[in-house]
Amino acid sequence: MHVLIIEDEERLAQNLAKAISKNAGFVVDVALEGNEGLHLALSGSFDLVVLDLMLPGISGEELLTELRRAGNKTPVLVLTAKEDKQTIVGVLDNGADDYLAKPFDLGELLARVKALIRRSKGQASSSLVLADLILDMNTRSATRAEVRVELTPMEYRTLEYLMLRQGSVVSKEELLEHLYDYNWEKFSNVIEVYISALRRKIDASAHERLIHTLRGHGYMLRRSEAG
Amino acid sequence: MRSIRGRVVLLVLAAQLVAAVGAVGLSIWYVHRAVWSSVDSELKARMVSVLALVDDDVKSPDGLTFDGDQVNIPKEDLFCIDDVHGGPVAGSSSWLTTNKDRGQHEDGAFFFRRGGVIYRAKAHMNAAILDQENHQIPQLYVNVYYAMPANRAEAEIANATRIAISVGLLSLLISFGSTWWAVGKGMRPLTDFAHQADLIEADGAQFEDPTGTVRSTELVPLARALHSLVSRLQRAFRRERRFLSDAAHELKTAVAIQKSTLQLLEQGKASEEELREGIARALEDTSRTENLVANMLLLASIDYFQRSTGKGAIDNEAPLGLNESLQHAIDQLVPMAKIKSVSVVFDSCCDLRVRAPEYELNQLWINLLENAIQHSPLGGEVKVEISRIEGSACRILIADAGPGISSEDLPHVFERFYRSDRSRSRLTGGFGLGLSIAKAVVEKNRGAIQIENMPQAGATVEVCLPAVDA
Repeated sequence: MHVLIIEDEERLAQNLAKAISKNAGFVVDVALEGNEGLHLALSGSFDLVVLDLMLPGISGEELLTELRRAGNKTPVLVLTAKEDKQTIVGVLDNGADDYLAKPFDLGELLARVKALIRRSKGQASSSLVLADLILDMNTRSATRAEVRVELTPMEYRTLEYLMLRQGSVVSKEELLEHLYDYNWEKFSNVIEVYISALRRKIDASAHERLIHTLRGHGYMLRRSEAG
Repeated sequence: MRSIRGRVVLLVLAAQLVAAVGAVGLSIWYVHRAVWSSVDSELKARMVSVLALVDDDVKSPDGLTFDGDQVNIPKEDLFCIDDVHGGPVAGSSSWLTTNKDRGQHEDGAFFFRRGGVIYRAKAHMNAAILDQENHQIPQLYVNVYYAMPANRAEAEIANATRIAISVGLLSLLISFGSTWWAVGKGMRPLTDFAHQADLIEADGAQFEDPTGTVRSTELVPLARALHSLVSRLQRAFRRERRFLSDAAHELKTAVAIQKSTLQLLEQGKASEEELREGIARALEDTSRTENLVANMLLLASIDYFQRSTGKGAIDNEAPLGLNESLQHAIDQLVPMAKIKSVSVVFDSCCDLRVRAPEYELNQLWINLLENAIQHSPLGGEVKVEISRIEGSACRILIADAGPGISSEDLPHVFERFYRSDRSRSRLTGGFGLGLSIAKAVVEKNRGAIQIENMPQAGATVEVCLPAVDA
């Protein structure tokens, strides 16, 4: 998962980035200024935007309006020191998905971040299920046929993303965008490496294949057709 | 009585009462006089008609005769005729026998009571009897008494009195009602004001300018004063509220940073090195918060000083050398200047002294110099210059070679929590209070401060403070 934090307090942004990458295993990018934040958010490769309202450049409210006007559907969690009802209603009406008042609890922030991402991918539970493959987003662990599957953090992230988007084709580029930050070499073949590792750990010893490759299009997690 | 309405009504009623009593008394007296004078002339007429029936007796020289058959008077009337020696000649039988009612023996009118009836009576002593045949000079005299019941006249007087009193009372009632109503109506704008003033919320809800809607000219000054008071309060309140909300925002953000730094340490397992690093960060965050609170308290204390003691109290401050004060601040900022390779050039015309608290003056220079260094380009130069200007004032110029201030920010730089370039000033630990504090300190110490862009480059802050004469 790829999260964008737009927050002008550098220290706060750093702390949030650290907490989200450490505890949720998401990739985090930080923008310290409104215009830069908007530019990044419009690229569309983020699964969630954490947005402060008081920003240099353009304000959080303006940024949100611009983002939604451009048709971007990325979930937005607003952080604000303003706690009045008017502000809260305003940002939610303006296209925000949730808000958190400063000073907030990091644990709560993480839970909301995870819940918003889950919801935006059409999942209600933090436990993702496909046939006998179960992925627990809280403990960040996977089991296949009730046997725990040992995954490296990158393998887990890849599997989590595919599980959240199960049933639809996910291109290699999409995976790269959502699993790595901007500095990553996008033309590397890391994705192939992780997919083959996941295949070995999940599908090799099972009777039903779940990871499918659609040549030239990407990957898809789904049950094999009967027979 | 405390109500204006009550007092006015009472006053009007008292005046009205005096007038009414006078008018009613006068009219009763007049009616009284008129009624009795008409009764008396009637009495006189009837008496004359009775007297005409008396004639001299041809049989005896001193004898009198009375032609009783001819008496034609109302039967309730009484009369009595005596000769001058007191011997009865004629009269109503009952009255003749009892002497006491006509007790007096002189001319005039009088009252008496008889059988429960009050009579008005008239006596005429030594009335001359004219000889009927030859109208000679009278030789015979009699005393005549005539009385008639006074009840009709008295009823008439009582009636008139009743009417006069009722008219008086009615006029009192009318003036009471109309005064009460008029004063109440006159006071209505006041109660309307009170009602409107009652609706004013501290946060400055609607209060319409009442000057135009007031109909009584006497109330216009009050309306104007009330409106100007409310607008002033509302302006002050808005200013305070904005400051409070900005301060709350800054404090919440500072706390959010501290909290997240600490919570980050709490989550998962951290090595000793990570913990140490985290504690150092938390301490850094804390000193930032401390700095913010100190700045806000300084501003608040200056505000409080300005409001409570006024501007005279700084005369008690010991004179401070400007050169030493500025040099001290420059020395404090050497490390910061070094990081940006900025050199501070200090030039002073002479040894000037000002009256101001040392701490405030130091804070003023620190804030202005910090600002100048922050906005200087790498390796730039900050010029500090002290000069004497006309009158007895010192001028301190602090100029940087930075990009200057955008025209859009220029009017706002002294506003509290205003940041022209938020991300940059945040990184250097600013809260947008530095220039506000500088302005507050300068103004408290009876000086003036302004900031402007230089034609070539950079911004210059000019501070003028009253100098102490050597």
